[in-house]
Amino acid sequence: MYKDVTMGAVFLALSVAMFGLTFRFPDQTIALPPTYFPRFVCVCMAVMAGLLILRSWPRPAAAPEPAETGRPPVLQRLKAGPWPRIAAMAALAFAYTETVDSLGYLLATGLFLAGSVVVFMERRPIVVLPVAVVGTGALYWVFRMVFKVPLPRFDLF
Amino acid sequence: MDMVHSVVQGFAFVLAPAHFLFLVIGVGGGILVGALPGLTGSVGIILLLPFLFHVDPSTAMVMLCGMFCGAIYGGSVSAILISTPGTPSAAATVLDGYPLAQKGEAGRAIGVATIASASGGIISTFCLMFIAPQLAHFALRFGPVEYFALMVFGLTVIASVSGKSLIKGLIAGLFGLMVAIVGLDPVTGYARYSFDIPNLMTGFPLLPVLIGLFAISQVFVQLETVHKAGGGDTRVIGNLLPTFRELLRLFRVIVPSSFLGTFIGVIPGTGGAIASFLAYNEAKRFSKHPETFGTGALEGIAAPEAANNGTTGGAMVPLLTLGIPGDVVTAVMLGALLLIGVRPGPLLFQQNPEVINAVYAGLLSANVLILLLGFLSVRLFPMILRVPAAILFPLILALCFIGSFSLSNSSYDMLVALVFGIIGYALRKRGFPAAPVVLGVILGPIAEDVLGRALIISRGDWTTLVQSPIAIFFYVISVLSVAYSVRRKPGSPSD
Repeated sequence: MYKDVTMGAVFLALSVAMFGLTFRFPDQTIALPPTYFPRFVCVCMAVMAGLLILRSWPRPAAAPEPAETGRPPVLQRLKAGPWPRIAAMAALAFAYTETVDSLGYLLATGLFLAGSVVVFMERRPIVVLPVAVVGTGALYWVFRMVFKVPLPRFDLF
Repeated sequence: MDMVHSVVQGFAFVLAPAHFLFLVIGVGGGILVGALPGLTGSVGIILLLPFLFHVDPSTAMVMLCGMFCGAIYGGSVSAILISTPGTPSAAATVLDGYPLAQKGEAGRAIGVATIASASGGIISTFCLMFIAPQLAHFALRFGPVEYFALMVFGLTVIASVSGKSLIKGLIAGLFGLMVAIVGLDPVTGYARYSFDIPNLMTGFPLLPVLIGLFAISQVFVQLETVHKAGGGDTRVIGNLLPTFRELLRLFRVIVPSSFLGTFIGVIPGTGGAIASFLAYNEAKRFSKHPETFGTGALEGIAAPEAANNGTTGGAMVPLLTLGIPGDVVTAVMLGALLLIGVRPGPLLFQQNPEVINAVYAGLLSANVLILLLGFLSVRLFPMILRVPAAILFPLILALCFIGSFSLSNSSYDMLVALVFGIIGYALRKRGFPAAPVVLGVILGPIAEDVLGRALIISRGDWTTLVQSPIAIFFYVISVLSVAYSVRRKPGSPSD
């Protein structure tokens, strides 16, 4: 319930922000001005987001009971859930996208693959290393050798 | 005679060794992604995209056809072996396929599924060959007004692919439209929402957006269940082929189910899952022994498999002739076609007949290959299902990023794929389906473009949009389509 209200609020805020930004667009009058379609979409989104909020608004009887332990429930859920793995994977992927140009394809992809396998809870080197090496090599062969895609190279080589 | 000539030309193209290799890769890859729970045909097509840029459009189409047919068939493998449909289309196959596998006859279940899938696919391709040219010829009369109405109808498919909640589906579709309006306005050329950032001036690149929404978000979803030990339950495969008498009996179910699947596939917003359950129901209704259904009846496997592969040719009819996707997989396929420079529509039949010929021959050959690969690799399937997630998904993730990079040799595209992967994951977690986002991203700009052209021609007169009988027809069926979806699901956000 609360999650849907939050999502509705996010989409409502997005539609309001995008609608507001259309006032910066030039006032051109060729058949269909550049503001028309964005404003139409924003209004539709605002209406649908409002509907989602209204339909998901929690009724008093549905209020959640306080947690039995002293620890905040959100923190408990974070610790118990898959969030650390997902956050680690997102961070690893972000680092990969940011470093692939400077580290080069081979090094960056090898490290990324090794890290990803570890995030997927496989920590045995006998699995991690072959996946990193063979995966990097196979993708290199397909994209560089077969399709001639110029992959990033290490700056020092 | 023209049709025979087209098909012969198509086969001459498809059977050339280099093209045939791509078809084999497409079908084999399709069976693999279909068989692996967690990967679907749409993810398979997304993973194929980076490779399609490096081949000509006809070869790309052949590969896509192979992936499409292979993935729908592949879904039956995990449905039979581990009671987990690899794709939604194979959900009905579980009902009799798994009980038969439990009796130690998994091989016979897969054999029947293979024969039914190939037969369904071949019958529906013949239907495509006869229907599509007629519809394309009619659609040549369409101008911007009719195309705008058609795009409105296409956007109503959002309601059908919304999943459990209509409101969330519509919000997802509108979010897709919001993503699509970033960048150059098609009429005035003004760069909307670009904030003077050069990368944003041309909008978000479609390939990384699709890769992020479908493939990368799926890897994040898999991270949630990684601790739950996967791995297929190896079953006794046993004999593969049904007896000749059984085969004759099964064809009495396969042929009507294939036509039913083709018919369902032609209707936008339906898809293989609906077709397979309908066919299963009809097969049970007309069976002399309906009590055997659910206990491992061969007809209970043949009917849904013939129907869901029957939708492949059917779904290609609106996709190729009108540019309207029939379901999630064809929506992704539409994006793939636009990316490789093939604009589906009636003009495709006139301007690129070689692409259409390749589709006809590609679909027919793909279904024959399903028969061959299905029987040859049946004993490998239990092993495929045991590939650990810790090996499979990191490789898919790396392929996604390098695939995004390969389009314009830019790490910015990798970042876009990651951002949309995270957005796609967040949307999935909150019950917002990814398919409507894709429909919005793909159909939104086309709708705005044709609306602009219609208004330029009419000098700004909006009544032009309702002056064409064809356009009115599309508006009416758009309303009916939405009404049907609303009636089918109450639209509660939590339903």
